[in-house]
Amino acid sequence: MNKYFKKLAIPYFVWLYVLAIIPFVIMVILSFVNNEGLDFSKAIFTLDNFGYLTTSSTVIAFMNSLFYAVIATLTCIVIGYMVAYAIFRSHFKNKFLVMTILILPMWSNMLLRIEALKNIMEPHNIITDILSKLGIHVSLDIAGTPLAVIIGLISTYIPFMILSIYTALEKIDYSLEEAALDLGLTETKKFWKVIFPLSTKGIVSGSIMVFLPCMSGFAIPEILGQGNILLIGNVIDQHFRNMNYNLGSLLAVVILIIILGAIFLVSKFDKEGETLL
Amino acid sequence: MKKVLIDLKDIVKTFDGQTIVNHLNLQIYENEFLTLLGPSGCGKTTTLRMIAGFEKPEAGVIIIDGKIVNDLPPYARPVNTVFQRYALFPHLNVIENIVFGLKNSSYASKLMFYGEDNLIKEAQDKYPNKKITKHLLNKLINEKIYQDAEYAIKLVNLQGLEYRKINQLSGGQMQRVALARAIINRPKILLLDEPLAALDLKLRQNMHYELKEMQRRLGITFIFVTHDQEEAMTMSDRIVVMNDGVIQQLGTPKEIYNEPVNRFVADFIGESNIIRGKYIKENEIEVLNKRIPCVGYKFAENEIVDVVIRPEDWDVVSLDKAVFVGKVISSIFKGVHYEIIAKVEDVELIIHTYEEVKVNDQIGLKVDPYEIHLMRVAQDE
Repeated sequence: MNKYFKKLAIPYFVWLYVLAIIPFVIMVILSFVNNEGLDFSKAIFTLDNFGYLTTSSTVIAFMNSLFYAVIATLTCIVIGYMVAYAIFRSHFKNKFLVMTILILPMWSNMLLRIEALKNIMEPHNIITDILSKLGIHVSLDIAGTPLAVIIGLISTYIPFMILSIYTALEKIDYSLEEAALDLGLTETKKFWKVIFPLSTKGIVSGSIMVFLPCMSGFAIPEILGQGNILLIGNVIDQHFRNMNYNLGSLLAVVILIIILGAIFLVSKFDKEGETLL
Repeated sequence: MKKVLIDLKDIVKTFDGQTIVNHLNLQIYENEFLTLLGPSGCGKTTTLRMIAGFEKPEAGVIIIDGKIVNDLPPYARPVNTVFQRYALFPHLNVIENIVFGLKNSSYASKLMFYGEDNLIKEAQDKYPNKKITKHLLNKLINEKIYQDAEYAIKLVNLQGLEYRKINQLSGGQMQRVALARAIINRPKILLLDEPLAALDLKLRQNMHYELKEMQRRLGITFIFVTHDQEEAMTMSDRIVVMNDGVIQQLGTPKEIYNEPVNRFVADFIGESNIIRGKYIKENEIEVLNKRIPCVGYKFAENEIVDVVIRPEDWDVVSLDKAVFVGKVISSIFKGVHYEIIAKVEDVELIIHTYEEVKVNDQIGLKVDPYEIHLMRVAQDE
């Protein structure tokens, strides 16, 4: 590559160093020391922080995170696949437009969406008001429950799943379907033997994109769980708020390592690296 | 009397109001190599796809082996296809691609395919002390499928590549996998949709021979679609020349080459000189202002006809023996022969000859009576 073009990436690299790599190094250091806030002058090297990892509250938060992330991802796979497949099979002239409409919510502020969702989940909100004016008395009273958190996670992250599965489906050569029919497969068998295996890459990449933010996010459980549900993201959030940077950093680093491990596993599984693109 | 295997009756197919196949009638016999030949857009591929079941005709019936199959889906027809771009499954290796059809058929159709009685007998011989269960038969069937696959792999010369991934194969190898994947199902009819189009010339010529040989050995009907007239000539028992969704001529390669019925066929099959002439009387025509003898055609006296003379049928002779005298406009060396364009009576003729001639030379030309082919002039000309 021409060396002059390399310079074009410099602004981004500066950005990356200042806002990602340096903070990460500081976080790693923080997890090995004991100090007050960000004052390193009295820092003492210690491994005591690691003991915190095995306390029951941390373990429960970890397990909670894992549980919610797995449930949300699996549900996203099922619903997302059905939606992506329906669009793939539809006869819309402009399928891209349909996809854009589905993904449109992603472009609005996430917190705003979550707050709106919380509002609908409370016993009294604008919709129940309107309905009761019409004589219909129903209310959805699930705010603060695990169900609310799961619904929040799914509705926030499912567009990623739909998009990546749809992309995988679009890539399947139509002549492969004809070949399967020609070789004697029924429509159902054709789906399971040809289309589904060829779309698994989309499922894997969609799953990463759903699972990781579900695992580490804290806004959705905080708002929709109303403090009843504690995920690992919330624990980190609390530590940082209480100026306990050492434990917060440690947990954040551990999560980062888990995420990197997951990506490494996927890249092993998919050698061409198509999943992550 | 050969048995009719496929009967296409009055087939019509249109796409967006454009007629692609126009009242086509065609009978295809058992165990023959039939080629659908024509320029792109002539309806040959559509015809093939209708036989395979990927397209439905608007009118007419398709009869395969005595059964009307118009409404049968592709998987229920005794037909397999080798696709133009091979359409191999990228998530499976070579042998998995080949066994794909047999392995994924239902248990009942597997039993039918290998013969239930045979299987039971074989199972009893092989496992004399065991009870014949569905599980046992399934195991036996699976063994047989892989035996068949090995045989098919041998037939197409792919030994040693069984566990290769599809994206690690060359075009010629993919072609062979596609072929093996189709013939392992023992179809009555194998449809080939320009399967050689993506191969280079040398490989293509080898495949011509191999395909013909395979068809003879397997004893199944091959329907081959191509726009390459040489390919059609080398392999086919019969050729169907199509244009604008209509069959122009149906016949053996020899008939099509030597006796084209109209200007389109004469033009499409090889190079030819088509010259307006006049049928004077039996065994005599007037062409290029000369009266010359011909043999074997019957027209009304003094009828205007098209005279077809192939470039290689012209004899270049010395001027004193010449019937026609022409002036050489161009002379190109083509490897085996020279291709000469010469002007005779203001008509440009293409002539193939082995001897070199110079541009602007006067040459004498002559043609043997039996090399002259006459065609009726089309109505709309």
